[in-house]
Amino acid sequence: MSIVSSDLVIYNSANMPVVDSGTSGGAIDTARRPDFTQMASSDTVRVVSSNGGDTTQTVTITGRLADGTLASETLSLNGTSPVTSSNTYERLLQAELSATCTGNVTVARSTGPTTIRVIPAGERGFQAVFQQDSSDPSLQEDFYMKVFWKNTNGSLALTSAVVKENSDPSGLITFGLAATVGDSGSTTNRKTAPAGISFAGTPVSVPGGGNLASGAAIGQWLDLTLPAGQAAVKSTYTPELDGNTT
Amino acid sequence: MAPLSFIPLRGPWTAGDEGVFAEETTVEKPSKNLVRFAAHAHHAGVIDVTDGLDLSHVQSQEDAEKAQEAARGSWVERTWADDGTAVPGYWDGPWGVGNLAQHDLETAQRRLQAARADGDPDAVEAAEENLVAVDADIQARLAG
Repeated sequence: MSIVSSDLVIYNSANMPVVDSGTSGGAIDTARRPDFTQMASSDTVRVVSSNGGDTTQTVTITGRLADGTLASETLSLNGTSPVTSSNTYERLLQAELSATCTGNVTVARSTGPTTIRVIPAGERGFQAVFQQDSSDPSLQEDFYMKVFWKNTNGSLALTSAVVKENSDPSGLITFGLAATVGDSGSTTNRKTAPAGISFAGTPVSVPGGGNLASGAAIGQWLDLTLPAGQAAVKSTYTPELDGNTT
Repeated sequence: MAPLSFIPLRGPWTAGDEGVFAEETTVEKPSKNLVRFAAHAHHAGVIDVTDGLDLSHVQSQEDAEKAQEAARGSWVERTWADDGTAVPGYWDGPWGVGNLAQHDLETAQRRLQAARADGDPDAVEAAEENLVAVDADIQARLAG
């Protein structure tokens, strides 16, 4: 196998709003990713780089405390010496570097071998895709966010490429693919359905014959459907990109 | 230093050792560090700086993309072993090291999730031990 699974990387789109106003979607943002491992229990968060020279950057983290309230903080990196958050978070929602680092930056819980995410050198951070999306007491609400699958292999195309749902424990999310590879489509705000996208939970072939060329990316729209009166949800969603390689 | 005014958007904002700000705030004589932190937090969307914003402290998206390209390094083409199997290509910069470390971590975490879903205590225990080992391994790799 010549394309390996680590070559297939999921990235943010340029606009990932956490409020109901402002554009959602757009082009790929290869500096930020929408995947990380949520904290299993409340803890402080430590951040450390693999390079001693990473001392001028800060990391701004946002999360929820044990009582459900939001909190955020900005910490200065200190190279290979870990820095620890002041807050004890029940869950993390976002981590954003002020600038790219020379080293790989690890964001982890302070106790246990529980890395939340490695921010690869040259990237800026990560965030939860759906956050602060409120249900309505009497109406169904839908929220639309866009991510991208990129084939980062330097020379080979992924053929017969199919995007599918790997797991959706909440059962609240469906998806649809952009009509073309490398698109930059967006929608007015996260509560407005993107034009021309059909949402379902079934596998969808990458448009254009199923080939995802070296360096190419396909946009994947996600639809979070909250029925009227939906209770709070803390869950995950795992999409998957499959294909063939030579 | 010009006055600095900002509104916390995502709960109380802790600015390093410069203080905790829970409400709309104006600091008449902010420290350089607070101005820098505020620019970063504004960029990250956790506060709205309404006066005294200095975005020169924040890396532009264009510069970030250039830095990412440099961190990626060069692509090393796949090779073929004597038995005809492919040895995958890879990016030789630090980005590739971090990307692979994250991938290995995710693989171990998915194994644990699957074991928990299956409900086999022995499989869960083995997956937990594997995750501990993988976590230690990737930290050692990242430390070089």
